[in-house]
Amino acid sequence: MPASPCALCKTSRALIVRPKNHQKLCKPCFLHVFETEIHHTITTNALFHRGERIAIGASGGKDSTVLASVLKTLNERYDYGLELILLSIDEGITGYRDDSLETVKRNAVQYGMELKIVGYGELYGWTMDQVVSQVGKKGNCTYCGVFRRQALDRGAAMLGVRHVVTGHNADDMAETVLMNLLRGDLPRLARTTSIVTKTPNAAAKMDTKDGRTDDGIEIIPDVISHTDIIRSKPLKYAYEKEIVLYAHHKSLDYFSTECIYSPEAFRGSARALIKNLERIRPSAILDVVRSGEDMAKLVPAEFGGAQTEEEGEGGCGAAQGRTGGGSMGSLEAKLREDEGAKMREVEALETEITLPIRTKGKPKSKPKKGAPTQAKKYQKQVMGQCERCGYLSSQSVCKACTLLEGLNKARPKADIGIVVGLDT
Amino acid sequence: MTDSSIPNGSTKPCGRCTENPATLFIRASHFCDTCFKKYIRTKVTKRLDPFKVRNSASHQQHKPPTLLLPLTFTPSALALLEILDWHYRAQKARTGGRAGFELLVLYVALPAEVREVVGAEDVEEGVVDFDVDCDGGEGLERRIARLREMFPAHEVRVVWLGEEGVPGDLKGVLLGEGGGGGDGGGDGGVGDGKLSLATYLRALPSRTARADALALLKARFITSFATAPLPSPQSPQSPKPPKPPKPQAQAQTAQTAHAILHPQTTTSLAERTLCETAKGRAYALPHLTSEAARPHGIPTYFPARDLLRRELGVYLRIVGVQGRMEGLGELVFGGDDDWVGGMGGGMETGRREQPVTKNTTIEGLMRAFFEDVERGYPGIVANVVRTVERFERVEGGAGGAGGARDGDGDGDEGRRCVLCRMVVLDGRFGGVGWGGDQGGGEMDEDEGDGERSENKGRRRLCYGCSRSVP
Ligand SMILES: [Zn+2]
Ligand SMILES: [Zn+2]
Ligand SMILES: [Zn+2]
Ligand SMILES: [Zn+2]
Repeated sequence: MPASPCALCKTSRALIVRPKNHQKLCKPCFLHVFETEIHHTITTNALFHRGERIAIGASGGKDSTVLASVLKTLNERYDYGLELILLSIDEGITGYRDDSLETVKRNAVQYGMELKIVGYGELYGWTMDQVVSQVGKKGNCTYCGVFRRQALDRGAAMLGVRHVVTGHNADDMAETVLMNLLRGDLPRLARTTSIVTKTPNAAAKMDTKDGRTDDGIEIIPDVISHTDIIRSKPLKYAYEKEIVLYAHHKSLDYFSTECIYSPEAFRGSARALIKNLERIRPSAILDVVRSGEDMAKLVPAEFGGAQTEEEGEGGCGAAQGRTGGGSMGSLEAKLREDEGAKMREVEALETEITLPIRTKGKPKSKPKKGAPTQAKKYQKQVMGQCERCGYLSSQSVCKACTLLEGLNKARPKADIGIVVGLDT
Repeated sequence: MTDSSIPNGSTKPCGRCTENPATLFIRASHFCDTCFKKYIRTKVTKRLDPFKVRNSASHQQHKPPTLLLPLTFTPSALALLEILDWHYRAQKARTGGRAGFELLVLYVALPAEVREVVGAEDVEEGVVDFDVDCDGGEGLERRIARLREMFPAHEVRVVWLGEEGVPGDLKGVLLGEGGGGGDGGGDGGVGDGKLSLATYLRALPSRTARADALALLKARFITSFATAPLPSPQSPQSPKPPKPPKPQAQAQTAQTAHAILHPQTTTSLAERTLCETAKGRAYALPHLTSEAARPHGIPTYFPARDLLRRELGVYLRIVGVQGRMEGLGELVFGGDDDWVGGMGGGMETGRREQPVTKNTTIEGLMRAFFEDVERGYPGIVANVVRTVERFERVEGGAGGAGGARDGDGDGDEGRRCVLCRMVVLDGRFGGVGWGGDQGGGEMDEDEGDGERSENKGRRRLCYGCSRSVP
C-alpha cells in the first residue's frame, strides 16, 4: 500500500484502515475518533449524570477492558464526574476464571479503579463447582446461565450502585437483531437495541421523561435492591474489529477468549451472517443496528413489554455473556407441532365454513390466515416480581430461586430434566 | 428427517389419498405427485379469493379486474404462472366462459449494457429479481414465443428497463456531485441531463448497491406500468422495446392493472426481510411483505407466499413433464436444473460454496443462507415472514388508489424516499443524526452542506437508500 496521509489530520502517515468505513487514519487520530464516537453516544443519550457511581461489568475480555479504558479517558477528558468501579462475577469454577480475574485485577491497578469480585457462592450460596457436584456436569449450564443473568444486578446492589455498563458492541447488537428476527421473537426485537434497559422498579423511580437516565438523583433510594439497576451499553455502536484495534494500539491488557456457538444455534447463524455482511458492505453492522432500532418501533405494544429475567447477559462460558438463542432444530420442532395443531384446526373450520357462508357485497379478502390465531397464541408476558427475592419474573418465583430451591432441597441428585424453557 | 424426494420403489403410501405410493416427503407429510399438485394449487388459489367469479348482474356486465404478473424465468414465477392459468381455465370451465380476473404477464428485460454493469457473468440466478444472465436476444425471444404458445389465454408483454434513461424525478438524486462520476462518466450523455441507467449504475459504490438500486427501479417501473394506461404493443411478436408508460398520461384512461401479483414465496419473502434489515431499511418491512399495505398505490398480492421456493420447484417439475405444459421447466434461466434436484435432501448440490467477498450481493448471501435453512428448517422460514406480518404499519405507506407518483396528492409525497418510495419512519431521511451517526463523517459526506444536498434532493433518501446511493 502506498503511503497515504491520514484522512483526518492530513499530516501523519495513515497506518490504520478503519473497519467501519475504510477511512485511512494515523494511530492517534484513530484512537481519538474511536473515543470521540463513544463520547458522542454517551452525551446524545445522556447516559450518565454527574456524581453517578457506575459499575463496569468486567470480564477481563476485550470489550469490557476497552470500555473501562475509554470511560476512564472520557471521564477525565470531559469531566463527567463519574465514580467508576469494576464489577466482576466469579462463577466459582476452579481454574475457569483464574486468568480473566487476574486480568481484571491488573486492570483495576492500571486504571486506578475499585474492583469488586462477587462470587456465586456469595450471591446464591452455591459455587458452580458445588452445583456440578450436586447435579452433575450435564445441565449445569442452565444454572450458570440463570444465575449469571442476575449476578451483575445483585453484585451492583451489593456495591450500592444502581447503574451497570456492559461491553456489548455493535456486532453483538446486530447479531442479536438477526437472531431475534430468525427466531421470530418480537418482545426481544422490541428491546434488544435499546441502549438503556431498566427494570420497571428502576423505571418507576426515575423521571421517565424521554426515557432519559440523567435525572432523578434525589430519588435514589437509600437501599438499592437488585431490581433497581439500570443497564447501559456505551459501546453499542462500536465495531468489534475497532475494539480489537483500539485495545491493540493502546496496548491494553486483556484476556482473550473465544465464544463458540454451534452453527446450529441461532446465535451462530446470525454471527456468520453478520461477518459476511461486513465483508460485503462494512456499514452493514451499523445498518442492522439501525434496522433493529426501527423494528423496535414496529413491534405492537402487546408484544413489547418489560425486560424479562431471561434476557440479557447469560449463557455459560460466554465472556461477555450472550445467550445462544436456542437451537434451530428445537424451534423447528416446536413450530412443526404448532403448525400441525393449526392445520387440524383450520381443516375442521373449513369443512364447516365452505358450504353455507357467502360474503355479500364487495370482494373482500379474508382476514389474514393464521394471523389472529397466532396472535392469540402468543402469550402476553405479565411481569411481576419473584416473591422470594423480588427479582423481575413472569412467574411467582423466578428461575434462579426455583433452581436454588431444587438445589437446597434435594440432597440426592436433582432431576434437572424438569427444568424447561431455558436457552442454554 | 428433512424434506426430500423419495426414490422409486418406495412402499410408503401418500398421506393424503392413502392409495398412491408417496413420491415426496415435505413438511412432515408424504405426498404422491397428484396430491402434491393439488396441495400447491389449493395454497395458491386460496389467496386469490378476491378474484373469484362474481355472479351478480353488475359483475357480469363489467370486465373482470386485470392482474399484472411480473414474470422472471425462475421456477417460482413459472410455476405461479402455470397455477394462475390453471385457475383461470378452471373458472371459465365452471362458469361457461367467465373468469374472475384477466392476467397480464409482464417481462421486464434488461438492455445489454445494463446487464453488463450488474455483472451478467456471475450473478446468482434470480438474485436481483432479474434474469440477468438472460442474453436479452434470441434466448429471450424464444422463451417469450414459447410462453405465448403455452399460455394463449393471457397477454405477454416485454418491456425494456431504462430505455428512456433514469426517471426524471430521480435525476437530482442520482446525478449527485461529479455528475455521474465513476469510471463510466464518459458515455451516457450525462452532460445533457439524460443519464443512462448503465452509467448511473456504474457510478454506484458496489455490486450490492447496484443490485439494490436496480431492483428498486424495476419495482417502480412495474408500478408505473400497472397504474398507467396500457401502451399499445408495437410488435407483439418481437421483444422490441415498446415505449414505457408516460406517468402523466393517466388522467382519464383506465389504468393497466388493478393489482400486481408478485411471485414471491415464503422463502423469498424471508430473504427479503433479512436483506432489507441488513440494508438498514427495516422501517419499510411492514409495507414490503404485506398485502394490506399498498405503498405504491396499487394493491399487491403474493399468491405463493405460503409456499417454499423448493415446493414450487417440485411443482414445476411435476407439471412440466407432460401435456400442454411439457417443457415449461426448460424455460428456467440459468442452465443448471438445481431447482429440480432441490428436493434431493442433504447438501449434495454443493453449489454457492463461493466465499463471500465485497463483490457478493446482500441478496446472494441471504439466498444462500435461506437455501440451507429452507432445507432443514422450513418452519423457521415461515416464522420469519409471520413475524414481519405482525409489525405495525406506523404511518402512511398506503398511498391512495391514484398511484404514488409525484403530485398524486396522497399527502405522503414529502415523507417518501425518492428512490424506494417508502414513507420514511419519523421523517428521518438519510444517515445523519441518529445514534449510530457519531459525527465522524462516516455517513453521508453532505453533512454540513445542506444547501447542495437539498438542491439535489438528497435529503429525501431514506437511510437504506443513502447507503446504496451515497
Ligand atoms: Zn491523523
Ligand atoms: Zn427469585
Ligand atoms: Zn396422494
Ligand atoms: Zn429509500
